Amino acid sequence: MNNFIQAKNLKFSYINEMEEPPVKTEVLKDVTLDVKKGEFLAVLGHNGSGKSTLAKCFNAINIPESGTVTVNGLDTADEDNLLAIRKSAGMVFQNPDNQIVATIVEEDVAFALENLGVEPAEIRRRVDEALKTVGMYEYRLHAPHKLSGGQKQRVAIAGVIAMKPDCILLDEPTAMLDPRGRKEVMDTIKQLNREQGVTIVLITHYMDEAAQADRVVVIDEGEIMLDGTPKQIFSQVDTMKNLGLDVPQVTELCHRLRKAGCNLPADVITEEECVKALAQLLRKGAQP
Amino acid sequence: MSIIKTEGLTYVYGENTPFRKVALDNVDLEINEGEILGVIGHTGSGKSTLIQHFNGLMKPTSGRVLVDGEDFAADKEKLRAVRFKVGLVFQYPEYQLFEETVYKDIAYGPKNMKLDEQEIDRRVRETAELVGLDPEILDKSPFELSGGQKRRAAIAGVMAMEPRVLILDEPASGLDPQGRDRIFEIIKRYHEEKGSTVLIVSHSMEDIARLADRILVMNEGKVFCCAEPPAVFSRSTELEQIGLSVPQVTRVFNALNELGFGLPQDVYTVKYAEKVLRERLEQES
Repeated sequence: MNNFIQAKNLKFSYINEMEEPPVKTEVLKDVTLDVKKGEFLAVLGHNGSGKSTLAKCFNAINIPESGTVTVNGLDTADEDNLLAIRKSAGMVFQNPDNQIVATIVEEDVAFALENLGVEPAEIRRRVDEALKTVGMYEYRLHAPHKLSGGQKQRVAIAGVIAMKPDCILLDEPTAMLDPRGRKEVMDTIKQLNREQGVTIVLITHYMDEAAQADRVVVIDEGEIMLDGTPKQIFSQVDTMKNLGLDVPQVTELCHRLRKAGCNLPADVITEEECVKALAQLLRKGAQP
Repeated sequence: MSIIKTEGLTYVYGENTPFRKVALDNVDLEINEGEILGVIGHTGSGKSTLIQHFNGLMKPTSGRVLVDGEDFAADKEKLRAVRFKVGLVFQYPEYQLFEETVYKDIAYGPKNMKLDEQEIDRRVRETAELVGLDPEILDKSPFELSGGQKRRAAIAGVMAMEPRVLILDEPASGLDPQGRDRIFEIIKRYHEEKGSTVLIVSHSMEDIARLADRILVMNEGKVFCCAEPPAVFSRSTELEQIGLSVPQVTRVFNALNELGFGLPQDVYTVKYAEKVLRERLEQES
């Protein structure tokens, strides 16, 4: 089977029971989306667009109001599947402080494994391996609260990969980090995807992070508006801005120059491409 | 005329313990009245420690901080006055909302200043309008608001005190591009209307570059540089070496210059980059 996650006509609403009568807010309206095995998918959308809600539907924190979500072929609406789904699709949240439970790094990484009743020797092996993968092995005996934000987030990721999931869902994992921490986390994510074939669903506000994915989905008002490669998505500069989103600076620069009549490709999304295109343009301009 | 001045400001964490760390190392700095100063530095560079000295939350280990020409460290009365003069908006300020209604939360600071009811009411309503909160929201509980509204309500609470210096620590972090633009619009409007000095701490060079009159770069507890944006960004290679990420367009222009195109070295916004390139192309054709 090629699709790891399948959402079909997914609908989800939050119901506020504090109000009289209860108020229903429709967040996801008829979302159909497949995430392929081994894919690195980025999900973009402004605050309140429904992207976090969607991620929570992918590991059965949210159960569809109508429609279906299957993870690795398992229906999230079936309670008997819960454990298997959570084992195969792990989640990393925005705030590292909210997801670290132990007072020693390696104990935190071992937490889920202990709950699952994994053999102690196997726990030791997997914890060490997970910490090495995220580059935090030397910190295994440190106290998590003394680590930097990027380090804490990598410990959180280690806790997830120790469970050997097929897929990791990350909900704005870099939002609270500084540039160095962001890079550490992004490098870890890409390495897990490329070297270990872990399926990645990355929810982010950072366009440069989305530009590194295989595929980008843009969600707005609970519906999928755009779905394509980063190049296909970011070349639609005006559409993205109308959706309250941004494009990388280099894309915007080339877009503006194109509007002014310069001969530049429409799908520049990385610095290297931009340098190459501009160098060509400037050299041509220099010719009579 | 400087509104804040530091002289040899040094701060040491955990003095006489194995964890001793010099967070600020002999900082001499002058902040001009009415300017927008961007403050940049990677985690641990000392920027948060620095701003907490500006309204007396922290006291120098050695050296002095002068606000409006006065050293307030020793005098309790002066310290209280400084808290009203220099308003500090922490990172994720929405976690500090606590009152029953948005109105009461915004009124909390002005009330502490012992302003009369009428003045408090004026300030709450004016500031709410400034940050884009509708009057009917004022009667709601802060916990009923959306994330973006909460952030704006929390910022309004400090703005309502109309401090002469407004300091914001990462005011846009965690927001989407639209939310981020909105916060910076609000800060800009506040600055224009009140003429107050504004300090913005941020990791994002792009955001700082758009707004600031001058940029202060902190590194390892020292002032790396404090100058106007073009002068700061012309040192982009050094900035990257100290762990800061410079704007994408700056890196592109550096690469083009390495190829020998001889473009200006102080390009840091998309608009400016466009202008420079168009002028160059027109010149040549």
